[in-house]
Amino acid sequence: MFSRAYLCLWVILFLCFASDIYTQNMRIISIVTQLEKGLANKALSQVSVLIGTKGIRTDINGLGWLTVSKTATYSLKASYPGYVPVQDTLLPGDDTTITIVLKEIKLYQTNKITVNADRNTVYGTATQQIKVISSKELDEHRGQTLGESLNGQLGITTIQTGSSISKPVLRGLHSQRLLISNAGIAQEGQQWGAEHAPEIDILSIGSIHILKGAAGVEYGPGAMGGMIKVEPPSMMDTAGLKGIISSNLMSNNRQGSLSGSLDGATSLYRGVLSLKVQGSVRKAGDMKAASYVLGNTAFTEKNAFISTSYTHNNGIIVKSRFSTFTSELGIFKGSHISNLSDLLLAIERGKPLKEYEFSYAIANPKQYIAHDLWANSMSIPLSENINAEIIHGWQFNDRKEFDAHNLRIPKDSVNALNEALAIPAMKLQLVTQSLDIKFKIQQPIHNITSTFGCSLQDQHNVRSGKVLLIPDYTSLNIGSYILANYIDKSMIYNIGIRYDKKNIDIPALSTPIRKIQDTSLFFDGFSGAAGALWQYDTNIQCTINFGTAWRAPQINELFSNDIHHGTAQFEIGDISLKKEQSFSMDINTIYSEPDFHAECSIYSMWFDNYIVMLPDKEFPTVTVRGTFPTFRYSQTKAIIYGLELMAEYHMNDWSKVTVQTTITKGDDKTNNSPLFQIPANRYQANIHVHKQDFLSIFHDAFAEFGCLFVSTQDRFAPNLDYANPPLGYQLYNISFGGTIHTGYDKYISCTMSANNIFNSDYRDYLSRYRYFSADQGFNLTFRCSYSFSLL
Amino acid sequence: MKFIRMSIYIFSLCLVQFLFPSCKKTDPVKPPVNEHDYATDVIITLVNQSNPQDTIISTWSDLDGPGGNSPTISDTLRLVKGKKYNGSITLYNKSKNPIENITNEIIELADEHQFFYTPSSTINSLIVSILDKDSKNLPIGLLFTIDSPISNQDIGLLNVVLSHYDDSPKDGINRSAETDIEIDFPISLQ
Repeated sequence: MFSRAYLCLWVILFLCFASDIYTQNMRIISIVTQLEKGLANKALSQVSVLIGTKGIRTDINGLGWLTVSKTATYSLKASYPGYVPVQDTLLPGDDTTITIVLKEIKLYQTNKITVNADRNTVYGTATQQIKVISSKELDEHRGQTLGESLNGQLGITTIQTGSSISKPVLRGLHSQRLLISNAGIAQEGQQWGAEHAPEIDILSIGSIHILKGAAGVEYGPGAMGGMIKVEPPSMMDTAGLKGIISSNLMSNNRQGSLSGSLDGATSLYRGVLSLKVQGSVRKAGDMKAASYVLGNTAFTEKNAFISTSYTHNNGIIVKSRFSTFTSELGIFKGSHISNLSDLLLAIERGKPLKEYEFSYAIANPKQYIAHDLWANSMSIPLSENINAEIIHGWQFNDRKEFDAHNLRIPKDSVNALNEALAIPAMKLQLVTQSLDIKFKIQQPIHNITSTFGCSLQDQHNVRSGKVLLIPDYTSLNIGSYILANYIDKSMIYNIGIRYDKKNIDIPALSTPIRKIQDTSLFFDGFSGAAGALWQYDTNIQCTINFGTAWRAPQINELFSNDIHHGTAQFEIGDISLKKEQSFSMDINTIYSEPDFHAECSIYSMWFDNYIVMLPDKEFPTVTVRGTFPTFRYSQTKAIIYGLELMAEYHMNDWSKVTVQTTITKGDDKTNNSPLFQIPANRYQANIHVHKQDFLSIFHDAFAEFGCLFVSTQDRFAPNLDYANPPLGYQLYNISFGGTIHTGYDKYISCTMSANNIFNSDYRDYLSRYRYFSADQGFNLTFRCSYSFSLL
Repeated sequence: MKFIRMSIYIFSLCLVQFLFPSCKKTDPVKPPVNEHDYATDVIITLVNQSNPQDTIISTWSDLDGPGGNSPTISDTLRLVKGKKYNGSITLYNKSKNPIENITNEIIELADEHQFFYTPSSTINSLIVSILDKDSKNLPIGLLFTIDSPISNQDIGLLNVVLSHYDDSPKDGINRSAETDIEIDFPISLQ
């Protein structure tokens, strides 16, 4: 109810202001936006250019026009996600052309000092590695889920549960050790489950920033392994009204999705008010492995968001965004295991017991997930140098899991059966509120820029249903930090420290099955970071970063006490778990020339009290369904280390070759065995061909051929798993696409891509269905979007 | 400045809800959690065909469900060598009030269930034959006979499995992929 009323309110506001668009006629300026690229710059479309309070978004050829006064002085701003924003002054005169060259947010492509300062306005630590995936890159590869779209990035793999659930894994860390933020707010769902994916609509993502290495100082406990920052699409900052309609079709699960958005802006009270609304729906049927259908893996999604921002001339920016995500998804029944001997039989069989017919139906077991996020932020320039930012977030995560076991209801009582099926076995409702306040000194004062901040997060989790995996709880986290960068001629030094404390309160619970006493837990700790960046010359840059981060044990690690049906294990939490602390080191070298680029990173993370599930062989759990191996959450010393290599060579101005290697290893130092579920080594190669104009119809046409080689994970503890890691595999993908310009600011973009073109029968080590079935077979995807401007 | 004041005012309105984090925390009506769906008690009764006085009852019981306290078995099934026994199995959920007799539900859904009785290798000459049949003339296993062998084997385990068929069809021979019950009863041949 609340969300609907909120939506209506904004639609009314939007309609009121959309009509209030004014223009002035003095001189016409044509604006050309280009991407800096070696010797020949390339046109960059969709750049928003703001002159004074007026502006435009450049068209497909990087062109735009504006009328301004000949006598006034204007501030000029140009921005595009993933690129360094340009700020300049437009002086009075008769000039009629401005050329703006944008640089990608990558240190190696830019001058040392200016960008470093700019990095600091985005991220506190200027020395850490950040990879930005622009919306254009995303559009070319946008998969079914956030995880799938990230898969293939250097250092990232996914934990996949069928085609609908996918969790990103960065350098072997995921869930509670990897922070995912959406619109500036840390995404808080039931992150602990491997089959609980981040509740983010892939069609509503503008760009993604991947921050590697401990980012706990600025982003708090949880960002141990890094951060995946999901940014909403950029909003219009100049008067106008635009729309995009897009659709994706996939062959493998006969998926169709449709999304529509409206983007508008108008001048209002010495500023610009922007509004964007988007809605999307998606329906997918059962997924197909190479030679069979996986029954009950269909899903549906309904998502929407409305976001608004107001930028005042004096620099104040107020933003508010409400998004809602709902998904209903089936869980492959063969993976919902009743007992250990069933699991062993299923592994031996290696494929579904029966042949399923393709269907869109979703039956039990299934999940129903809803996630609402309300993000508000305000950025206030307190002086020339100092900027204050307040971010408030409210999230409601509603997860219902429906079981398929033991519905022993006579068939004639259909109503009774339907009633029983409609009651979730487990229902978890998590409300999270957060408040972050940041002060940033953006321009170096005595060569120092700095950020101070504090944050507050409050959570309430309410559960119900027969399955008691985790109890109710409330938690409160308070933290504060300071970060500083010292910028010298060719060096940046960075240092930061943060203190956090966290309270978790669990009310008493007493049932014949479970007894939990009224518990109050307290954790606190320091996070720290220190790093240096050295720009040796225009080609070579080295960074070294040290960090320490910690996290409190998750509620499931403390209180779990039940059978996990996916793995036929009896999992027992431990209330006396201590906080987990990591110490990390990261060395990164970049070599860059106009037509050649190479990167090499080595890293190592040492963990003290690493929380891990270990088998308790002496006490298997005997139940009416047979004997289950008992696993207890325990703490060990662990180390995760790895190597990432990538090289890109532009053979000429229209083609490039990219190769990359990701190697990750993990060891349990206490028990002297490899860590469970560390991704296997991956090698990737891509050939990308790009043509600005193709057959004089297609602009920005591209074709790409990629292959991925994944080796067999040979580092595993043989007694921890039921089946040995699957064999390595190769996948080949191809994609091509382009844009057809149908008029001023109207264009159709299409891409077609085929994944797993040889329909190979493969299993990934991190796939949760690998015991039961092969991963997704051949998939042909067609994406099409039409962008148009209405005003 | 008026604008700044106004925007701070609007923003603080947004923050007001932060002061009342509990307003969202409506206590939902919780279904009782003190029950579960599986059998807590499995009882095997064996009657010696030649001597009805020789009746053996053994109860497997796990009142607190999976985890917690380990299940208990009241007695070993002590069979006289060379005799034939009539057997029956009954299932109850004693965590519910009133106590639920799951046996009746299995009879009602006999087409979807079958018991499998497998003696361990040390007593593999023991023969279990199922007597009762469902509507398709396939075995159910609530009623059975046990032929106790004349051999030098003496102790072992009788593995009892209840298979539930709703995804795969019941064929009377193979276990399903979904096991409702799997427990072991100790047996001694005397």
